[in-house]
Amino acid sequence: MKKSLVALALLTLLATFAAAPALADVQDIVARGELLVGCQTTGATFSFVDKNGVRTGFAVELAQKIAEAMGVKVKLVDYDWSGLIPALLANKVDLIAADMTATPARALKVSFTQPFYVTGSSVVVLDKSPIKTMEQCNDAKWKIGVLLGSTGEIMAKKYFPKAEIKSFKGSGTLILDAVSAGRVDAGVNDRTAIFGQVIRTEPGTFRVLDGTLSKEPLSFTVRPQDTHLLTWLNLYFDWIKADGTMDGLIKYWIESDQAAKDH
Amino acid sequence: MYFENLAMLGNYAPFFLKGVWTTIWLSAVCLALATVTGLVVGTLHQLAWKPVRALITVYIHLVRGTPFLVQLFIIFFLLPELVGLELSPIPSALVALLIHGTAYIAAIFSAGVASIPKGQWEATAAQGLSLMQTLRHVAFPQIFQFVLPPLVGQYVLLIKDTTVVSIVGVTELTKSGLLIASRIPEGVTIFSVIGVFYFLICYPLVHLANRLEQRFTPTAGN
Amino acid sequence: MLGHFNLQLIFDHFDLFRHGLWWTCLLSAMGWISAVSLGLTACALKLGPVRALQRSAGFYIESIRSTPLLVQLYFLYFGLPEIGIVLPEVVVGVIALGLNSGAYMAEIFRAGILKVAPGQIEAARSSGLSAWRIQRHVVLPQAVAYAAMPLMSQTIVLVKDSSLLSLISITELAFAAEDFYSRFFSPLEGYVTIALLYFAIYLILNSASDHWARKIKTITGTG
Repeated sequence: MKKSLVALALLTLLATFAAAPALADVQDIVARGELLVGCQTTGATFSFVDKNGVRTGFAVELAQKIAEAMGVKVKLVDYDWSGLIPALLANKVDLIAADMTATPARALKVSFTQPFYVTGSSVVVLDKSPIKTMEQCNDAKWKIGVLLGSTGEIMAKKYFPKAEIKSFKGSGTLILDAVSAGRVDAGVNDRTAIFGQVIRTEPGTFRVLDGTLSKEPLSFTVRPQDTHLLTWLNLYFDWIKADGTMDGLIKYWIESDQAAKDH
Repeated sequence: MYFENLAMLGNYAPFFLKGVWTTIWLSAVCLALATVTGLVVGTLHQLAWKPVRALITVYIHLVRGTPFLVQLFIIFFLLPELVGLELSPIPSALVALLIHGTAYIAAIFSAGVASIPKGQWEATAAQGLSLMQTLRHVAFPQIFQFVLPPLVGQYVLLIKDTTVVSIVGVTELTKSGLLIASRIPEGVTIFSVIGVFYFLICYPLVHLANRLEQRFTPTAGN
Repeated sequence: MLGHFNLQLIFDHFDLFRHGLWWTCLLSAMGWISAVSLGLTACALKLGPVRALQRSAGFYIESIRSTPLLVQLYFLYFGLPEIGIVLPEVVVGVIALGLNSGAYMAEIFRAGILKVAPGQIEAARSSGLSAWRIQRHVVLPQAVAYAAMPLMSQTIVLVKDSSLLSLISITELAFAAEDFYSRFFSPLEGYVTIALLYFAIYLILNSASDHWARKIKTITGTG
């Protein structure tokens, strides 16, 4: 009896400082005055911590613009890669703002917005590596590092069946760490993610091989039942694509080294 | 290279220290609450009605038998469905740490209460002391020495368990270090700094646990 | 999420979990052997007569106890290659588990030895037993008995700790859960399955521990 009372008291206590649930569609978000955004703040250039210790990046800035257009504040919540979709499905956040590839398999569980960028899986090696082209990777003598559950993992297994594929659980710079520590001979990840990270290392450390293994559309992610939010986001993407805002973001964060200099 | 990286870290000091602070206060709150709940649950484990004892036994086994990572994941994503309670990252992390920590601390207190000879309960009952009075004035002062060394040791383990809560969106010490690692690809620099901070937080407690053990653990002879 | 709990999916892909279970058991067993050897060594050094060795054993134990396994693991995996030592993942995993649990086991062994009543040792000495025989026949049997229960607890901790090895690409149980998730995007099934498998390992170790505890009562007289 006493124990259940204690438990009840504790739960009440916790409930009082529990966050507003993200049970939302657009009107709930507006009423709440806060957009809860799940992100994976690990590596440049989509979502990262800049030189001054501030969270920023392409996805962060885009999420801020979305919140601004809705007239609400934005709240970023960080998850590991494996926590992103579960957090969305468990109503912890309204949307996922990450460089998530909109694969048909994932789309069976969640809904994706229209793509904001098309990237592809690329290969990164140490600058001094004998591997010069992607074709050379498909050889039994190489170990290739990928992130567990990433599209890079699927592509590496598909295109380099002879090589030994090592999947790392985690995210961000783990692949570059594994390459630089000699744990693997090459790493496969999204070209945008690789470039974003390599540009911030000492010149002459890494080399990104020419070409991509695939074409992969990147999207933001919402719950399948939140159709109003999805429609709203797609409409908003149409607007900012038309007025050049999206291009500006892409040029700044993804396709030039300007962001790397500033942040 | 190493020292250059270390110097670069200076810019991130405020961000990193925020993570350090999160680990410290999260641990402190969790330890304080878990000690209270652990004391209650541990005492009930020895003295309560039989079905309650059985329930507590099952609970302790479940927690001891599964990795914290798995518990956290299940609590974080199941709790909303089971209890209808939506928690933001830090409260969910606290609930998970509390459920985890309480089990271990309860086991310590339970062993403590069990160590009191049966005769004492009977003697105090004969003198007309209530159960609460017996606990407060007779039992707890005695078991204090018995439980303190393992308790402090458990505290250290719980502090280290807070590294795991980053998966549910809490930016604590390890996570903030990892975030900074995206700037400085040499993870080693980062991990040595993270290691040093954990050492600074945990070592005083490890030291205390050792001292308590030397003081309170009687050798069988005396 | 609960409504969609897909039991069939778990059975269809149980090979994934079986593979994970095998690696968890294998690494835990190898980690345990290295932890016990390291623990015994550190304990012997700490109780031994050489000051410098006492200190270094103490430093090892305290620094391991004060830092999380995750940090130690990354250090071994990404740090050692910087000074030219590239060990295979499995070796790093076993070393990490061994180093970490070894520190706790050293303390457990030491506590066990110190618990043996000094009176008994004196009695043994006065009855003319050699130092070695005292250790072999008087101190160690009792120390092992005292250490057995906490040793079992630490073994359970070691098995659970092995769940971190997925971070260095070892395909154990936690890796299986995440692999399962990344294929089907239903997070709960995988985690519930591995929770049950870990719990099964725990139950086996725990019943072994209980069995020991009963035996030990006959050795130490108490428990």
